Amino acid sequence: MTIVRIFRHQYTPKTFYTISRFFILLAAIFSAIFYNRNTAEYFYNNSFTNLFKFLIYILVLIWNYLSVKRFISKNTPSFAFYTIMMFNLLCISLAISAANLWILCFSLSLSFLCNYPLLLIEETTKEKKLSAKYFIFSLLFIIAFFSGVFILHTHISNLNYTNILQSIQTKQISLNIGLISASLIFMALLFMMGIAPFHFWFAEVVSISILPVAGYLTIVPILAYFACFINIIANVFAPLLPYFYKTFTICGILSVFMGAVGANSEDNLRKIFAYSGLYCMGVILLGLLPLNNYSLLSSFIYLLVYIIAVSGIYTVFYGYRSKGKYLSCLEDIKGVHSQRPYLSAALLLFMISLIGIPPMLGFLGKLSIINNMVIDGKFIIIGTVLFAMIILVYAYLKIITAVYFEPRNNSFDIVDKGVYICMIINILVMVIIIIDPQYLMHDIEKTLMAVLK
Amino acid sequence: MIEQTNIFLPLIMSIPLLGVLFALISKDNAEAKGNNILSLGMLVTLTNLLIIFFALRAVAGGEGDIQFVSNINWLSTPKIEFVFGADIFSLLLIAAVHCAVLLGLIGIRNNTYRQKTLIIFALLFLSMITNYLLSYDLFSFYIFFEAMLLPLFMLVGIFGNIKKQDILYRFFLYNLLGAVFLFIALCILFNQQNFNIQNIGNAHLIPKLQFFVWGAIFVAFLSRIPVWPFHYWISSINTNLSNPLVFIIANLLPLTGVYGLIRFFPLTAPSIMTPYLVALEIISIITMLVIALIGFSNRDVRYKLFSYSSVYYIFYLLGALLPTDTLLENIGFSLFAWIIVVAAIEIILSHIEKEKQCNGLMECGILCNIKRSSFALSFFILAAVGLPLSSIFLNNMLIFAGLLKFNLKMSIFILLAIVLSSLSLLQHLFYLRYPQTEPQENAVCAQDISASVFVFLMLVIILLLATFINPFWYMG
Repeated sequence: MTIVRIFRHQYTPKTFYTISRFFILLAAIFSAIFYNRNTAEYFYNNSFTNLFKFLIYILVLIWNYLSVKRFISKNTPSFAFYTIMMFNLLCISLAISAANLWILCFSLSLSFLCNYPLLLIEETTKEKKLSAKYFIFSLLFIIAFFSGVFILHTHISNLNYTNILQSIQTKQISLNIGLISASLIFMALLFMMGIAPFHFWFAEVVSISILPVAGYLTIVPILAYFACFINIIANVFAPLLPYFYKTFTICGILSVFMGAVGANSEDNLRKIFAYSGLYCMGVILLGLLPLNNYSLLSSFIYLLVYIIAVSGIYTVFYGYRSKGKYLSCLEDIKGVHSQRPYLSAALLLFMISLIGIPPMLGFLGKLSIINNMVIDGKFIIIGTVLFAMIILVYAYLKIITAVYFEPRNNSFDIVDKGVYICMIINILVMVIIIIDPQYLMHDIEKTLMAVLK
Repeated sequence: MIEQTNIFLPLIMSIPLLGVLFALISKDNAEAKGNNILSLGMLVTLTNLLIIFFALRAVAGGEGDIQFVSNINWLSTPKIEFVFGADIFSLLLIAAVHCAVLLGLIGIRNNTYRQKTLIIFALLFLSMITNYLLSYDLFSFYIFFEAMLLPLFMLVGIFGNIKKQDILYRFFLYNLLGAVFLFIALCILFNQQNFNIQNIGNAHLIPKLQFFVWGAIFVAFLSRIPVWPFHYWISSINTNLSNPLVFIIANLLPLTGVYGLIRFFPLTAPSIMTPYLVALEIISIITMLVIALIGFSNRDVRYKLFSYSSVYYIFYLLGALLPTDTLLENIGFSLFAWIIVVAAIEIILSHIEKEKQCNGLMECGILCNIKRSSFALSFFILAAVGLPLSSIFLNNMLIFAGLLKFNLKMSIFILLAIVLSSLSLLQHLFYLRYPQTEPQENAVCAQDISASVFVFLMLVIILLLATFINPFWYMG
């Protein structure tokens, strides 16, 4: 992209989109070609990593397609967005495939720091301050990440996943050292995933950034962090996991409650869904423990359902536009149903899916995760999750009220056909999976198990 | 994937949903004035009614309780199989619900405000409640139990004239909480065995868990019935509904709770359920008396109708929970006529309300000059209070006899509540029919219901009379 920018005299937002599309497809092809190949013990490519990478590539392709519409309509340059995003994607791909802790640390840190320049696209003074705050906190947690890895490095020369696991199992490193380094690494990962009490950055970041960045940050990196988190707890710190049960459970419960309560305190749509994401991440964390085949499958299904719904919601946000401005406040979208009935109906469907009300896809996620908790006898956690869900629903009801029950106070711009196309594809995917969930459940179960060696 | 033995069930289940899809793509511009979409709604309801009629005939002539059983293997791990089936009881209820919605559609024929949205959500609700009444396994039961909440919330929110949004939210969350309880209970039961709801009483659980599961089921279904002290959330919604279709649909919500309790609570109840049944009886009696008294003293006709219907729903519930299954068909026959009667009363009352508001008329004696409305309303109210005009008369007598046999004291209170709620309806009919002062010659009169609506109401009256003369009218 940089070469094109330097040497080509005329370029449009579409130019960079086309290049990004080409390279994403290339990355997908390479992932397929290098399936099940290890590279000098630094990287590995199995069905688990490929599943996440392909999902990310598909989502990025769709998101890039929608984002270019925004750059064209606003007539603003897209070079920075696509370049940083592609670099971010590279780092994410490396992190997912990493088989060495140093590589994971570097790639994840780089990908996380990449978010900072993304936030600076079309910035204002207020946004600058918040972005700087984000950058400082990111640095702090990245330092924690590096410290954790460094502590391990002082005791083990080779930080290959298998080597660390063996060292912990054979007690080559002391339990305390293992716990300290694992704590630091987990803390950084929980921060990146935006799980409470390290969630404070996410809602702010999503609300200040431009729509393409907000959508990208909400939809894509979470999949990569989730994959890395599972990889780390299953293949690196598995013997230490019982020590972290209580901590993760507390983090999960905090996330669930803070997400539900936080969503109710906001009037900004992006913030509401950011808090809703916090709730979902909390549920995923609670459902993931103890890590076994069923918990992994149920958490992944819940995550996937969340991603599908939230990407649909962000697609709808592309349609909510008035006088060229993308709307994100509840006040602005009052009565939008009367002018944009199909978009509003889609928003309603995606929100129902997020809540988990049947017969929408979200029900499948809720069912799989709650059923797994029932098997484990976690009744108090079930009660907590479902009680928080009812609090969260209150926030969604406010959105439904604004969209459907309030009189219109805005004139909405014509919606691009691309938004409708993406929305229909998303709804079709939901409908197909809900009619026959075997498409989702059957193969993915086998694929995910690759991580639990 | 799908095993089925008959075409009736898939048709009955899918027609309202197809109606929703057609409604979504149909035109609703200023020229159409919502007539296209209204015709579509009526066509869908009538078509399904016709199929239900044939299904009723087939079920009555068939062998066994549950017929047309269809299995759908939805998921292999965990194994979830949806089972749908029908018996006379469920088919009668579905037919009644369709008739009520059809009456509601007639009631909104002059409506021009967001007709398309109204009919889409009404058909969606119809689809969900139909599927709910045909469900015979835990999951499909739960899915449709919860899924019908959203269309109802949308209908009440858009067309309900609810001034305070908080009341609306609480109404939804209260019902959702009930569904959440059901969800937990069914997850626990499901992990024991993928239960058919008929075998639910045989679930082997440890006593603590069994107590919790039954409690959760109990709370879930009770949340749909306006029981004291939570009746306020439902009554505050129902009494504000000026749109007849939305009122009729909202009034069908307690039916889902009653039906759920009837289906879930086994005939030979485990001993662990005894405290719940005692609590249910106490709560029911208190609710019936409180609501009947409020209805009697309240001047708002919608509250009177709400109180009347709540009292009767609880009456049917108590009848169904008696340790005998002989009354189930009586409850079905009675509910069939009763749901239609309440819907018919609502559309006439909403017509009167509209005339009153448009012409600035007094409510007292308004029926004097509108003969058709007067005749129809009188018939339906007299049928509603239990005069020998429909199947309500005989079947309610049998249900009451059953209640008397098992619990004399409770029956006296029930009778008192029923008399009070019936009197409140009669009191209002009297108020509408007889003016306090002589009408002036040049006074503005209310407009009567149109001839076509009257003809339709006459057909309903004939149907009700047929149910009185021969409860097995559908067998020919």
